[in-house]
Amino acid sequence: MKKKSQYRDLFPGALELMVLKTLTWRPMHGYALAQRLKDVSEDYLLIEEGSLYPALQRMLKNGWLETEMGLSARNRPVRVYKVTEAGTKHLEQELAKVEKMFAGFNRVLALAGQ
Amino acid sequence: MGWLGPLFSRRRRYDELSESIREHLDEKVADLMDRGMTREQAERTARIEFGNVTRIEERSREVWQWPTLEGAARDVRYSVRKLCKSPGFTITVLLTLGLGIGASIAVYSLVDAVLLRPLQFRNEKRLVQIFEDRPAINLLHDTPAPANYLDWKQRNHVFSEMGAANGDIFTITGNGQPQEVDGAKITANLLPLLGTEPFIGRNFTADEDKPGSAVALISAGIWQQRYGSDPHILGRTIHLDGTDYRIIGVMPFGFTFPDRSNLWVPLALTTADKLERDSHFLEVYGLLRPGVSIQSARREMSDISLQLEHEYPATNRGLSTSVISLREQLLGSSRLAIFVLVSGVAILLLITCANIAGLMIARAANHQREAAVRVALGASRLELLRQGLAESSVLSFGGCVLGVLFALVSMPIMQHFVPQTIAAWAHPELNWTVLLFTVLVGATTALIFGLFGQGTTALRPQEALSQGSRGSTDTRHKLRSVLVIGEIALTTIILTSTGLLGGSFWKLIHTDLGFNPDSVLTMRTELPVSSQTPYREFAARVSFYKRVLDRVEHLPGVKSAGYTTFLPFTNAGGSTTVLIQGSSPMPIGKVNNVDLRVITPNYFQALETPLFKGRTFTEADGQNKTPLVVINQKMAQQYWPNRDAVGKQLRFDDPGTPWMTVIGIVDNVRQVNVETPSRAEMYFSYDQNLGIPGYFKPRDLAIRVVGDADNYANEVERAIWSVDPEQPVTDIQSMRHLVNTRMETYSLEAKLFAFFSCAALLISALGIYGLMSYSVTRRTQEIGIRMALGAERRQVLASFITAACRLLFIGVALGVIGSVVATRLLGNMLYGISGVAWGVGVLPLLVLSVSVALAAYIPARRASAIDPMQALRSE
Repeated sequence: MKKKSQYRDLFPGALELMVLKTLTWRPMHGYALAQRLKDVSEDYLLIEEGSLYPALQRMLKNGWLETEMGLSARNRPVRVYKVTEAGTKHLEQELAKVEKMFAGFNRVLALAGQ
Repeated sequence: MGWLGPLFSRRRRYDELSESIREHLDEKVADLMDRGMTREQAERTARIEFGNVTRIEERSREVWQWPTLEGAARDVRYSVRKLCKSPGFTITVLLTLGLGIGASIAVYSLVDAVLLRPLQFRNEKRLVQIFEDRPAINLLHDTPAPANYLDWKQRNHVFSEMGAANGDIFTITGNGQPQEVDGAKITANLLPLLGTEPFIGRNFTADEDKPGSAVALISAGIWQQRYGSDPHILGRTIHLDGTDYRIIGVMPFGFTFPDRSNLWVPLALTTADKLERDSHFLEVYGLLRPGVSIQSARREMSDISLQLEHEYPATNRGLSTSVISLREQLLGSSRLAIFVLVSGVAILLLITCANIAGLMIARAANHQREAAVRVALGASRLELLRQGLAESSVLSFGGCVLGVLFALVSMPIMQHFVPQTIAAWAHPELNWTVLLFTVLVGATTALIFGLFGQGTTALRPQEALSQGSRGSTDTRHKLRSVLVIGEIALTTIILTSTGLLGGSFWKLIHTDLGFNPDSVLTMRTELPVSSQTPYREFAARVSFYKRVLDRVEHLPGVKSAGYTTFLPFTNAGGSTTVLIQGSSPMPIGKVNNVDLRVITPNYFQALETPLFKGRTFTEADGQNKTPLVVINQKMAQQYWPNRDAVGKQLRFDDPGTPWMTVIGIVDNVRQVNVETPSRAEMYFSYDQNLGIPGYFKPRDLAIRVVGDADNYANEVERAIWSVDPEQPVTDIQSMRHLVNTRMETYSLEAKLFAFFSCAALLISALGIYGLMSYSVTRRTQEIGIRMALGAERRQVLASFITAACRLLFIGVALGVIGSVVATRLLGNMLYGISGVAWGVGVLPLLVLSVSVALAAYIPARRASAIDPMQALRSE
């Protein structure tokens, strides 16, 4: 079975990172999260909406997210995902790592050709 | 909560997940409809953009599960449901499997108790028993003479310790009922040599191992029964054979070595004993030095025997030694009996597995379509195989449970196979090793037929879906045929083995024993002969026998009664060397070794041992000045071949002993056991004092009665106590019972094999029946066509019977080859049947053929009764 999701092409944990970052802005339900990711990336990242769910379950299991009842844009009751304290901490650590990685990455791209 | 927590909360998680996805889709549909789509269009688009809901839900759930465990649980649930839907199949498999596994467990528990578990001695691996052999007269494994033992002990370099024992029977009096117990006189070093010690008190010191010391060790059993587990037992006295002994220790529970000893006193060899090379009465045990092999011990011992032969030619010429590991000595022939049993049960288990594999294949064929559909819907072959294994595991587990129940019921039977020498402490039981074995057998069987069953489908699932896929079905049919052939071959082996064992047993119970064991009551009154009792006097003993016999013979219903040294099957007794008058002196190193017993006049009458010539003893013989002897036929033929032995003379091989006259010849009596032929034997009269050692004094009473022997026990006991109220009476049993117990292993082995055979026969018949039925169903259409084209019913029937017979013949042919091997293996278990007595093998084969033919006939008849029109219409 081929894995279709494009996030796999980024680096491991990239999707989790984006989801966490998005959800720190405000808790959202799955559909809103998918829409938000699509809008923010300006359709650069074409995601199959469903593929969010296994990632969400993984993050729930790790304790980075929790669910609670909230309201959708249409005022319907829905389950919304909310970042926990552990999630915030994880996000900070990961962002630091990513920044370091990109710094190194940029240096190589900038200097390797000279 | 532990690991159960996640399992419980998981259901809620899953519900929540489904809800979330539903909400997602609802929102999306609403959005899309806002943009002007119809509901239908919106729903379609939403689903397309979302992806495969089921798959995504599944993958999301997987995050929470241990994939294999939960998958396995699902497989098991599914298997149980599936099995419940075909109860006939399930019950057949469970019962067959339960039987096969149960028999294996029971037999394994025996193997575990007798062969695998260590003996009760710490030094077990280095313990040996040393015997004297006199190959020239075929006297092997004799008990050594004390002087030889002392020389061995002094000269050898291979044993770190050598000790000796001399079995004895003690009468305990005072402090309760008189009681007779088996005991042993032992050297002080014997217990340390074995690696055991008293659990209360101490062992003898070397100083106490001298004549005149009166100290004793008692068994835990005596300590409990006679002394109420008195914690202050040390220093109390025990009254043995009229002498007071001081108790200095209690041996641990279960310790009864040698034989069934419950009492130990120092061996205390006298100065005369220490020079004795002609009287052989010690059991000698050695502890090999660490690192010394039993082979080098044998070499060293044979060197020492050679030295002794040179130094003491008169007594030691032709005398060699044998060194045998104690374990081997204790287990004796039971090892072979157990091995045969194991082979039998292994074959039964194999047949069971083959049969169930056959059933599973047939079942897989029925479920072929279903399996194929599952593959088409995305199940991997691995999953299919796993499912198959799950099903067979469920069946195996059920089989194991039934098997354990079956084994628990049959465990007491296994105790009878434990050799007497270790019966006191070796009990077959369900312990962890046995349960581990059960799990192993269960897992193996599950693997075998799990692979056979679903495995065959899993390999080529596509074929199953295509119409008229004869290819895989044929492979399957061939595989089943091979299995049936295997079953028949194994059944043949087990049947011929049963035939041989049964035939051997039949011969055994029809052996001429030299006496009639029916309606004879037997018991033992061991007269104590130590210096403190009146029975040390010959006359007092004679008077005891006379008075007891007089009272017993006057009891109503008693026909005759007689005493002997040892009744047949109780004790091999002892032997002595004799000189025959008129025959040339024996060459040095060769002796005339003859068994002897001392009897009262009516002994032969009581046992109904036929008198061939001359006469037996009478009451008047006590006054006779000439010593008289009655001999058995074997002795007459051996020493007076083609001549009349009556009236001939012989004497003990001791200077100055008088010549004795042969007055009669009686039939050979089987003394040791049923299968051992009689040796040359002499009988002496109890009231002629010929200086025969006290060991040979009469002690066993045989009473011929009218009707059931057991009914007379109480009256006879009372009669004996009216003569001497202090005299213990032991081993009260009918002669028939005594004989039967000695044949118990044989009869049990034969019965168990009969049981194995019936089971094997039934299972094989079921196997061929299943195969034939399946074949008939599969070929319904073909049969229809053939009949439509004019084939006779008889021809159809014949074609099926022929097919079955082909399998039968191949199976039997292979089985006969296997039987030849098996017979060789059984060889030593068999009595009176030479290796290739096919007569007893043919009958079981007939039974097998008839049952197989019948099993094939029923489905074949069904085939021939097929209505061609119906058959052609069937799919």
